[in-house]
Amino acid sequence: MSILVYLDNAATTKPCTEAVNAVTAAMTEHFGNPSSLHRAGLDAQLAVDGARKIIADSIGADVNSVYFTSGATESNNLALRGISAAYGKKCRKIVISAVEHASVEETAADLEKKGFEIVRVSPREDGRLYAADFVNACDENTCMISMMYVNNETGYILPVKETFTAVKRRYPHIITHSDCVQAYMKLPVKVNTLCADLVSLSGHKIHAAKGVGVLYIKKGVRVLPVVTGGKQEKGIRSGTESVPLICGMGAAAEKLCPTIKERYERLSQLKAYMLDKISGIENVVVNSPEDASPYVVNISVVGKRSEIMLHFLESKGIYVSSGSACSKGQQSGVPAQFGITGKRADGALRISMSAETDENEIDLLADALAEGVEKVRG
Amino acid sequence: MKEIVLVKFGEIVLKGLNKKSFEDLLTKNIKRRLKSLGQFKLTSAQSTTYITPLDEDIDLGEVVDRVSKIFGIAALCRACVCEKNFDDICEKSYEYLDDVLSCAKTFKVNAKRSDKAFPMKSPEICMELGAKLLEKFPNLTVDVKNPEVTVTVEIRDENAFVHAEKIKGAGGLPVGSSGKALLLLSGGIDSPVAGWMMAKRGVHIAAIHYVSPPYTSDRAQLKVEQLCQKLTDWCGSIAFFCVPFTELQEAIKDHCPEEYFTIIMRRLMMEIAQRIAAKDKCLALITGESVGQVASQTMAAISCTDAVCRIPVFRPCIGMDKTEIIEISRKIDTFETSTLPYEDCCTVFTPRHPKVRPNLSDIEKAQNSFDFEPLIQKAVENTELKVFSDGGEAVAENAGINNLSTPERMAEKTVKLLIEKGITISTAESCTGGLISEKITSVSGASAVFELGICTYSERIKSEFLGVPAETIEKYGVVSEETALSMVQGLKKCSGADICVSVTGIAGPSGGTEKQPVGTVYIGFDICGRQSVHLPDLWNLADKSRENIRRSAAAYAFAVIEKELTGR
Repeated sequence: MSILVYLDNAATTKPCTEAVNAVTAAMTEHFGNPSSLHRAGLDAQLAVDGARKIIADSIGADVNSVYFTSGATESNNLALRGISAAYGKKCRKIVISAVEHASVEETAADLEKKGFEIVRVSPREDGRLYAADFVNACDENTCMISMMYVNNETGYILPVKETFTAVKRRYPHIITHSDCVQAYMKLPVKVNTLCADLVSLSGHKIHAAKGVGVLYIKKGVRVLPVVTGGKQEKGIRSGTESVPLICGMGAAAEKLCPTIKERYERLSQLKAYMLDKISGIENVVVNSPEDASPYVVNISVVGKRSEIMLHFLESKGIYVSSGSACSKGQQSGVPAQFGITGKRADGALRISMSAETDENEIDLLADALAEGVEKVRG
Repeated sequence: MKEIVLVKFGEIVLKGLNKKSFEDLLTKNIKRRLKSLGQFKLTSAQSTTYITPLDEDIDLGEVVDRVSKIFGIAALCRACVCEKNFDDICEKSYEYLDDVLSCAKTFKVNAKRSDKAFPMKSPEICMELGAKLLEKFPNLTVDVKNPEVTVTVEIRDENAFVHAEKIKGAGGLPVGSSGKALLLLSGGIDSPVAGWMMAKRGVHIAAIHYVSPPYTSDRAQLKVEQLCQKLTDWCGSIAFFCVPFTELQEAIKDHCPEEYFTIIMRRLMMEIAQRIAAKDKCLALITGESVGQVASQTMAAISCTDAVCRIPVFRPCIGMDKTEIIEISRKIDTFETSTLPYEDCCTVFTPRHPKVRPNLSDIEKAQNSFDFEPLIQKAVENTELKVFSDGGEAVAENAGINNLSTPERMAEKTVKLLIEKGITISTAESCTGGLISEKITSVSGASAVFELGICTYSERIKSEFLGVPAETIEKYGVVSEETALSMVQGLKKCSGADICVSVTGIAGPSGGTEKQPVGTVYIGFDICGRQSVHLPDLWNLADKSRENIRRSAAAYAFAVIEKELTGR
């Protein structure tokens, strides 16, 4: 295949040179175990702490509040399970949004089986979530609220700041958690501005390697570990730190952090360009709200099943996704929450861009879509 | 909506004729602390200082957080800027105070009208705005005695301000107003607290730490450096002296009775600290001792330690319980670092049964059985210096200004590095009179990297050739951070070299003042676009001859460039 137009960056991104170099350097130069007492160990520890500092700075957090995990799924598990274990004796209720990623939703469902009451707050008829609905769902008996910042399927930006500020004001004891995987390095993610006690981040969504993530835990918030062992990461997450992957994530964050704003503006223009291009195509409707993150554009080709369309685009060298990649084609129920149902849901495609995406690629996508609408049957 | 931060100065408002110098110092401290967050305008009027952000996306929360850690400030608050008419004040109040007022139960309105031309009088403003807010927020009732929220309206000359949440400042006196003292920093819980407490009283802190490899590890030293870095949030920049102590500890172990080990060790630490203090112009020592906490901190032990001290030793924790000390260490965020479990110099060779009530003559006799002086001198000579600045990493690092290498050797190293990396350099020198460019050009192959070297000795030439504004020289003086910066900016413009260096200073022997002693040399750098001005403490040089100050300034400049190029 001669061309490759990769438009599935919400699933994963191509690692940047900086990240690859950092991984290689860590594997060749800082191969020590950060827990070892000798210099090789210290070198590895310093490398990890360097990455920790970069990531802490990028989210406006204290360096000691950043804990490395194996990825955002683990971070989300640790957040929900760790908080419910620490605070769940008295407070048996957890409030989440109804549009969370599986790693939050399924974890919550598991806690539900174990006796927690899970309240899922849905978007109103206009497809939007409202802070007031979350506040009303909370009560004295609630131990935590979890809410993603940017929805992975539609790019919808949830009112995290408004919700968390209001919840904290009314119930200061409730721990706030935000899965910021699709927001990190795309929108400014500042823990204090968001009023978040816990924040999950992923490496491979920001052009670093798979297998590394972060859970920010505000100082003073107690999270009980899920993984026990050698007490690495201050006992919060045992297991020898993956020095290479962590260094890679640090390098990627360092590269991307200064350009969040300008990339957002460029991507907004690119999104507008795309919408303009595809709006003329028959039966194509846009599912993402106008003010969504420009990195994710969810569309439906009404009457064409997304999987078939996906493979048709693939044959043209264009990679997009149907629904959320984590559910491997299964409909996750999240589109329905946003009012995407019936034929629109069946034909939903997620086009997710990165800073490298250019207009030429959008042109190729638009042409292929138009061709697909004509050629593909059913 | 435009938001600013209002700052009320603390104790210094009570000062007499020297009040101005305290205020200037505090303003300088605030500016320095906020520099990395963006551009700000600081104005003072009617006992209040206004911090106005000039850049758009400045995080005011971070500004408040930083300013609340600056000593000398009694209180601060975020405030909303309103036009000076009642309608705008009401409108802005609704919006700005919505967060606070919509969930409060009781409130009152306070008004301060310093602009007497404003048509409404203070009580009138209170009543009217109070009524409006009651209307807007039905959940509120007025409580003038004990309100949950106090809404304050200030009518000033240029604008009106509305605010509701007052934040307590750090109190104390501006750091630097009380001179400098040297803190013995072990890595435990107490010493950072002691340093913090003295900084609160305006003392500029330098720190000294003793390392004993292999008995102590790199991690132990790193931990102390982390503590230093944490303290800079409160104390401003900290010069950190790291003393190699192994040989002395081994000598005590070998030559003195075990039970006296700790006391003699502490006496030697004090001795070294005093010598470093003298070099670094520190007027006193600070320790984290608390009476009776451990064997070496009984009154008898302390008096034995103090017997070697020729300058005051401040022990601000002396009457505090451990729990009280821990409370402060949590507040200043050093507790977590302090409790990292690394062996430090104080716990090496600890005797099993230390003398709790030592007798001074016994101790002196034991100590005199061995000549520690050569080892003390060696330790002082090999002491390493790092400077931690507020909000950043260690900035300047050198093996002590008295141990700088020669400019010739440094030039050779630096020029080779420049050639290797293909980086060009230019210089604009004043007090070094072309010494730096001379040393660069002495190295063979320099033509590949050396662009321009000018000696801008007079003020006129500084202005004409480098475009240093006459106002800058007039306002800040020709020997100043601002002039050095302006010089390097001008040099960058006319030479376009990757690295530009400017020097302006007082090489002596004449020309020094109390504020700017001989050896005050500002060195400006533009290293691949990153600008900075360094002020190495050349006034502390043992040899303060004109020649040595000029050579040391040159060597220092090379050291900074080398450090930048090698990323060390």
